[in-house]
Amino acid sequence: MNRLSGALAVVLLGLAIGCSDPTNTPARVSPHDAINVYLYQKPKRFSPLDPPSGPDQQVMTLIFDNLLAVDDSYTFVPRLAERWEVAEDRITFHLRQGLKWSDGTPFTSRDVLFTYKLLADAESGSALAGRLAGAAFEAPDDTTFVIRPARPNVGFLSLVARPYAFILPEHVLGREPVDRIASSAFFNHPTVGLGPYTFVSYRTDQYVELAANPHYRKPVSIARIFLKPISSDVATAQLGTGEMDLAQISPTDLRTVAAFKGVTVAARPSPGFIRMAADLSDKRFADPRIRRAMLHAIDRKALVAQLLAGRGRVQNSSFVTPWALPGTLEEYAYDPARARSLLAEAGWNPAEKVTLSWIPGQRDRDAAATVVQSALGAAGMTVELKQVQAAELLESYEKRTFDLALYGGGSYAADPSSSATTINCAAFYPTGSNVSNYCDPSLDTLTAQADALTDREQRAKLYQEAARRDNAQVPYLWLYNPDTLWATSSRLRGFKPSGDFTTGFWNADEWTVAG
Amino acid sequence: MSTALSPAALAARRFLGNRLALAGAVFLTAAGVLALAAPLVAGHDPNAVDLAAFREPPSAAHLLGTDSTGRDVFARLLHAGRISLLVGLLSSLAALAVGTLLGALAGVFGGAVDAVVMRAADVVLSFPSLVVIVVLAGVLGPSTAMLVLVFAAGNWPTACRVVRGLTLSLREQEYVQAARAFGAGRAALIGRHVLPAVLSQVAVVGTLLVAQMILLEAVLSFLGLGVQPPRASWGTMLTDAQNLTLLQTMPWLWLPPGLAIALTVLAVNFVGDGLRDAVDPKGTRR
Repeated sequence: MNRLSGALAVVLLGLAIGCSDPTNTPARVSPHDAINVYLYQKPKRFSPLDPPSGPDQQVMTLIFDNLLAVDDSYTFVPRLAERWEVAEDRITFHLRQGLKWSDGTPFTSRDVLFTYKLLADAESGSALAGRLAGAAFEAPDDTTFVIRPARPNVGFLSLVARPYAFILPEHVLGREPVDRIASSAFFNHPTVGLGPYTFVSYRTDQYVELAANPHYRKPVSIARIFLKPISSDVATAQLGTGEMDLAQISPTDLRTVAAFKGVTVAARPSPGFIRMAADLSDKRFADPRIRRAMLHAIDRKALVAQLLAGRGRVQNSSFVTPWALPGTLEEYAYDPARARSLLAEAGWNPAEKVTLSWIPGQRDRDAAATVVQSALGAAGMTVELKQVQAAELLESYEKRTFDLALYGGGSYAADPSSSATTINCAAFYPTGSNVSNYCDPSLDTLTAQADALTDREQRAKLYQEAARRDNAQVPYLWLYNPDTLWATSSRLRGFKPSGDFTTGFWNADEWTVAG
Repeated sequence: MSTALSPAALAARRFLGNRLALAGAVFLTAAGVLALAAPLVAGHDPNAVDLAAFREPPSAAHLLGTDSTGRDVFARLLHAGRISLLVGLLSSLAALAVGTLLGALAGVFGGAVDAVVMRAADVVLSFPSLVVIVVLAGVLGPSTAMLVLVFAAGNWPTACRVVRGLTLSLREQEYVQAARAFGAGRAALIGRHVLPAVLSQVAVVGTLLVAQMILLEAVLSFLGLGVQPPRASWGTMLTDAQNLTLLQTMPWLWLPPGLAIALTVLAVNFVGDGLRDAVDPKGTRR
């Protein structure tokens, strides 16, 4: 039986992956100098102005660079800025000297100034405009850049560090009118950057091809990278055949992958989480009792135990930073009877149909969608599942045409102010990441007060108060915080696993290929 | 042979003498009955999620085990059979109805009607049907009704050409010419003489179409363009099992739907072959 199923498995997977892959041995590059990397979803395009989207950001971390980034332990590390000083009213960045864009043009503080002015300008369609509103920027000399935030904000660095605010080339984009720059062709074909790799091409549904940047500040060892948006199942199978060098895998495949020769797996706790956003501008979801009922209806502990094979935690807050969380939070334990009674109390109409949209392709999320549908159905809420593409989902956020959207990610571990941008009244999508359109001015006051303080203890007190409110109001239907599992082939050396998959390629300039 | 048998009885005898066709027919009847009686036989709701029973191997409680959200595979297999068979039957019937009608019209009227119908058929046939179907499915949005519609739209020419060919030769037969000489209208000609005469051949085309349609449904659902989750079809069950861990260690998730597709399609083809041999009066096989 086992041999038979093994043989059939090879045949079936051969069918599944055989047609997806023209890149394994490109003629011009010897396979020794190229690696294949998994993208968990299809990128749209590569614009720092666009609302954050995981796969776009993953590619941008390789072709663009930022003033600073976060490393695998969520501490800020220098990138374009060699060092920086945070004062009460300003942050001063001292840029590295002698850097060049990938086309050979020298990089100066003028590029940084150009980028930040663009990002802060709502006219440009920038999704960061809300975060940067009112801030002033200066470039006193070629290697110094100063930001004066509108109000004191200790958490400010986390708002502009990677994967946000990638620096753009002024000599390429400077002449484009601001109101039309968002639709510039450059963002589909961003061949000029400061990252360790340069953009070569994006073959939709196949791969993004990158080449080593000859003008990068140190030699880059890997000649080509092919980033492939494929399902986690296919990526896992390709790890086994040696066609994939770096992928995120599903916890339920751990044992299979561990049996692959030469493949190593590393697990890291994630700074983000999987959640559902309900469109709270839709009156049906306005009553917090409805949202509490939905949490009670879903057996999230079982989701973690089964779909994640225990590799994760149930999430009960929009905050992740440990010191911002109070000791106890309402856990919304699995209780279908309570869910039904809460729905009845809040006057939920069982005849209402709710659509749950998500981007398919990751095993845990796909299964979670099925479980959520069934669980909410049992509590008296009829849910229809809808698989969508990224562009369709983001458009539905903007037009507020979604009911429920299941998605994940986020980088909330370094500082709680990064979580605040998902619940602030001023951060409605696409200006910020507040997808659910949640608004509670008193919560905004708390987080603003906290960010004006430098003392960690006092900040923590205010943030914990905010977290309690957040926990009671349920602005998001938090599901779980999954560990990030990276699998690397024996060829790829120097990869340092981070729990944050969006910035997971943070040290790509140190990667090498063996053999 | 002392007593003369009617052509139908002869055909039935020839069919029953064909062991493969008979086995196919028995299998299809059994599959049809199981699918129809799915809610009674399955013992579980096909969409009931139970995380406590996550990827369990076959047992007395779950005859074919459970899937990645704890749903009963046996129940899903039977309910999936309903959709697969229904889509197969309905879309072939629709394709046959359209094809037969157009074919008969083209044959009887000839001239411009014939030219238009047959060129339309050529256009449909000249496209790679799967590609067109995938595009149409993407445009119209996935649903079971869409599958039936799109499959019928892409497959009517087969029946159409067969019927037109037969009609052209029928038109020259003396009894048809006699009917025309007595003033029979074209509608009567089609209803009285053409349709009854081509029915047996159309039935053969139909059975073979059913097999194709069942496969197509599985392909589209496998690609995510057909039946939508959480509803089960054999194709979506295979998609759900498209994972190395499942393929290597949990055959109960992919063997049953895979076998169901393979056996059903084989059975339909055997029946189709049997029918063709049975209704062919010059057939040598018994």
